[in-house]
Amino acid sequence: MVSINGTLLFQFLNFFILVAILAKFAYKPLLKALEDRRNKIASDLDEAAQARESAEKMKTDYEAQIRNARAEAQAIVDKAVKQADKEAQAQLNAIRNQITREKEIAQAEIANEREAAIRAMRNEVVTLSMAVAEKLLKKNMDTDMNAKLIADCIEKLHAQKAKGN
Amino acid sequence: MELHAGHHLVVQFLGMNVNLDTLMMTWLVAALVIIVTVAATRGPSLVPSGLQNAVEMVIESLLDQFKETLGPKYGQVVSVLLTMFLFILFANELGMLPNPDILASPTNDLNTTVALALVSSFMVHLMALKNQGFKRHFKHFFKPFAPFVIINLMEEFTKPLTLAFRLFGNILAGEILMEVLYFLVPVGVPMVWLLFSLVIGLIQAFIFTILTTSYLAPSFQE
Repeated sequence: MVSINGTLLFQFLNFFILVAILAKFAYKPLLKALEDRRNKIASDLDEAAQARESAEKMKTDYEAQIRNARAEAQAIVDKAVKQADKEAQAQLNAIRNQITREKEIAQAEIANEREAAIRAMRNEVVTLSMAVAEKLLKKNMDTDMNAKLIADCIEKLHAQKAKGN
Repeated sequence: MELHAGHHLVVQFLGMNVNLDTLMMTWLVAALVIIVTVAATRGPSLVPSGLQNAVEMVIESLLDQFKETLGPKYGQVVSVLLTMFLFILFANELGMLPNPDILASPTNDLNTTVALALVSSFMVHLMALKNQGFKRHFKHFFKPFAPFVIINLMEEFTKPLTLAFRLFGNILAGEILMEVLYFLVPVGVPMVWLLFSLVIGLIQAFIFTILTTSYLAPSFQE
């Protein structure tokens, strides 16, 4: 029942033939498939890590860009506000100057007008006085009055002559 | 009753006695192993499924063991170790099919198990000579002290002997018990023992391979 015989030799050979067949037709493709899969997973993981890294870098870049853009926009707005203030101030000053100038011109004109009015009034008064005087003179100049006037004049002349002597 | 398990059909071939049934079962097992592994690895896809997945799972877990025990140079013996496991596993389980008159495990023949144990032993020495050189391999018989040469040399014989007899004993005992159970209680009970034997078949295949790996480990040390 238990004996060692020629079967041992055959089993030895059988085993090595089986090893040779399996090594060529089964293990080679199988180990290659396993190795390929391992490499693929490793490279996929690498790629994923790289993609993640680049995405993070991109994110940082974009954030920096957004920060810069925001700062630039703020600067532009600040500048515009400043410029607008400046321009408004300048316009205000110009208007103020113009108003002052126009006021001066108006005052000068008013003064001229008044002067002219006063002058005209004076002339008018003189003319009126003269007319009144003329009327008065025309009305009251009769012979008695004339004689009296002449007499007065002569008297005054005499008086002056006597003073002069 | 007369036991069938363990009896062999002996024929004369080239002046030697040869157990023909063992050889035929061996060829059947070899054919099955080839069919299953080649079918599982033909046109391997990146995402494995079905048979490819099952075979890859078994082989990858074995490869992990080999790698851990033998280090990066395990590729030198990976084909032999994988074949050892697959052949013993299929051989053990085939004999467990419930018709002991036709199918018997080739591993219930001491010739098979001794042949496998000799393969293991030869491989250990071959790898030691290849990786360590003759001088270093020869010196290791005298470690830790010179008198240990007796124990070390004895070990070189006991290692393959225990491998061979462990496998042979487990499988033959399983088959004999199965036959006895079929004879005594034909219904139910043999099924329980069958399930148990299937697990034993797996464990024995694993033990044989892993022990060979651990015997190989010193040959792979730097």
